[in-house]
Amino acid sequence: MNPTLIRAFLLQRFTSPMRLGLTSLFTFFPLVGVAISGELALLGGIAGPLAVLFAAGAIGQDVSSGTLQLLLVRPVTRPGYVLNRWLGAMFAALGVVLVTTLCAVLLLYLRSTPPDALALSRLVLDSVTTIAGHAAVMLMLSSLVGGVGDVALYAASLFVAQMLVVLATWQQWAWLMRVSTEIQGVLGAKLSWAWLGTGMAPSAFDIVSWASTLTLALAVAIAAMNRKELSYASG
Amino acid sequence: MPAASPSGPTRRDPRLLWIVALVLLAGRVGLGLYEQRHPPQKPDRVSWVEPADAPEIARRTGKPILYDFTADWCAPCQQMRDEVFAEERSADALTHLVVPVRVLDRQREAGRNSPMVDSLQRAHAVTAFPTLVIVDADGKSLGQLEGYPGVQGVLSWAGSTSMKGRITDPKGVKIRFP
Repeated sequence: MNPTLIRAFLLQRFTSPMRLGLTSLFTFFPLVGVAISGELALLGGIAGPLAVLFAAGAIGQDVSSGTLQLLLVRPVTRPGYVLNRWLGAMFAALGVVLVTTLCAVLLLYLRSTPPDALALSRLVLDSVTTIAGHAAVMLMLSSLVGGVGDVALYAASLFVAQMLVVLATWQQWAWLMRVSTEIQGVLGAKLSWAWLGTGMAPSAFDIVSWASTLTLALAVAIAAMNRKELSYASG
Repeated sequence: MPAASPSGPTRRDPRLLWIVALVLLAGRVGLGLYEQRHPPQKPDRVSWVEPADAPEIARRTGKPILYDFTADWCAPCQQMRDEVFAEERSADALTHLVVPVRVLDRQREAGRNSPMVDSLQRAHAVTAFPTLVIVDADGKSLGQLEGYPGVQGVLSWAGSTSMKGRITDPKGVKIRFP
């Protein structure tokens, strides 16, 4: 872990007006929902979009702006750079989720409906694993295209996967349904902790799928970074 | 000074990461195939009612009927079962709102469906799975949801749709929505 790289990345992310605006949007309405309904579960959907938001363009923007050339003259390896970008995106999204969750808990206490400790633990663990998975996938996409083209690639992949679901449902093709479910699983890499406290065992397939997506995405991102030829001579 | 490789000193081959990733990928495929043949069944927490009994129960309880048109081969249906019907809170919420009836399609496995399943599918023009339909005790459709929009999507749809069948004026007469 390189604290300087992570600090610089967090500074870059939290000074982007667009990102701050979208962060407020993603967190404000769920918080209002929690305040009205008293349901902490309404925060369950914010981790994924926040991870996508903070990891978007994590590598591509450095490549497009020429920052990467300057960065790699320092004693930083390309795998180290990728892993620190991933950690930075994770810390950024997780920080926002934790602050939002804290606000939600305070709101629930103000409503005199304190949250269930188990539900709170599940929410935090769900958020950590969702953010880790989504950030890794976005980083992989960001290593493949410049700028914030990874967002377009992500949206296009989601659209194609949804179209495949429609086709599979229409034609009743179980194999295609499985394929599209797996694609959706990769794009929305998350690990449910709903089993926690129920006495049930977690699904081995879910754990392995999540870990496989995460490691493959990081490995592909590093491989893509290793293949990049950066010119120091031209702009 | 480290020996310079032809590709430059900043490049490092993440061999260990690749090995872990490939082992996990192999595990994912293996477990996926295993679970496809031996699907893990979460216990269903919804007390499903027989289609023939539903109208009478609906009249008695004043709740509308929820038909869950589903099939064993349908992956979104399995996901909905695991996330909605096998979860205590969402299952309780649904049972509180509606009289639940599962309509399982067996066309692919058995070659045909029972007359009851066929007639319900025809009556509600079901062409895809999963499809949820809420009807009042007289069988009049109050709403139809095709596909699985997530737990919150199902619950909010079921909540708003079932209200159409339950809202009454002060004299106890049902208010019909257009």
